[in-house]
Amino acid sequence: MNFVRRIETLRWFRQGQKKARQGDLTGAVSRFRQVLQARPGHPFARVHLALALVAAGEVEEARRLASEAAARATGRPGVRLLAGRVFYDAGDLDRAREMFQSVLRDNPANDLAAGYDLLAQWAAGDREAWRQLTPNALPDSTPFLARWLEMVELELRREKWDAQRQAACAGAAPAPEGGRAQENAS
Amino acid sequence: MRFLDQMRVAFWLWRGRAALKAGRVDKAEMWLEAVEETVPGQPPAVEFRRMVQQAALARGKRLIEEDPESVEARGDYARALLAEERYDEAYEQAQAGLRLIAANAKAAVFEKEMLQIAGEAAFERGLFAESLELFRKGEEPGFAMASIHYYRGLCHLALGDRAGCRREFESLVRQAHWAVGIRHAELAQRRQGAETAG
Repeated sequence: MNFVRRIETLRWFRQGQKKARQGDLTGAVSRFRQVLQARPGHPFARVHLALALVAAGEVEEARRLASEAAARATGRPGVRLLAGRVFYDAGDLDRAREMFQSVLRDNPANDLAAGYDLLAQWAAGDREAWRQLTPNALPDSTPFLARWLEMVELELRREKWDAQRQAACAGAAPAPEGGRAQENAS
Repeated sequence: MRFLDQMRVAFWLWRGRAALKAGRVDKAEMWLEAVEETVPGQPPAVEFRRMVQQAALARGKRLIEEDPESVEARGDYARALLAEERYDEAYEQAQAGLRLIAANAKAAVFEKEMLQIAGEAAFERGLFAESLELFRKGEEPGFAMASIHYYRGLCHLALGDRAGCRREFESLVRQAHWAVGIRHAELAQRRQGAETAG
């Protein structure tokens, strides 16, 4: 691949990341696909495409791409960490933990992988895992903190939302519309 | 509490009570803020908050009685009701405020704030889809306050849209990193309470 083409794919990749951050998932997916078309071996484009797809609800393709990315990039813990995030977002917590733990085997000091591993443990039902995730010990990563906050809010709101649903069933209050929060929490 | 802090809190409470006596709820809120920063969650702050909330409620009610067409009074009253966790009434007041705004072009400056109050009240009543819609309408183009991201994230979470929730919470964390510590403290307190009760 010539130098100009390489620079161009780098530019598309950055645009994809920016679009994903801004919430433009369609734009992000199209940019990452463009990168992969031009450079199928790009180490991070595949896993970033998987992240954008899982956020857009395309879970199956995201999982397939994350598995491929992790298999192709055995020497890159960053790719395995992001693949773990794809599995976490897809609700496949066992696969997610496998990825995080493989990163930790290579580098036990990787606090982001350790944090995600605990978070996946918590999401899988180990309600004591949160104790190790104190604010001072939390990795300073926005996507991680957003997922941590999501778990905290689920813990804090579960009872109230359940009560609202029950009250709605009894006809004593307006019907809450969050029928699926509980399912997803489990 | 250190002696110096005790003296400060006593002074602020004295000024705050004087402001309430003079009918200046806004000033009292300012002194309350100072007290809460120094002794958060402690009896003097909690008691004074209660007094300020009661005064804000009474003032809002009185202003609406004096001028039922006042959008500002409706907003203040709805906020005071929200603080008192009287969500049904807060929702009604905010909706009444929105109707007044629709009928009076001059009051349009209050629309975004009123939509946010209505969104918050709708959320607390469990009307998550409606709350999201109200927050969307009340959004400033290209910018949303951290609290709006927080509520929208919660609405998505309650509606089962985890990806939407994560997107909003990511924006929240970028804007207000301190929210993480506050929510953790809340969870720790809740768990501790449950363990003590258990």
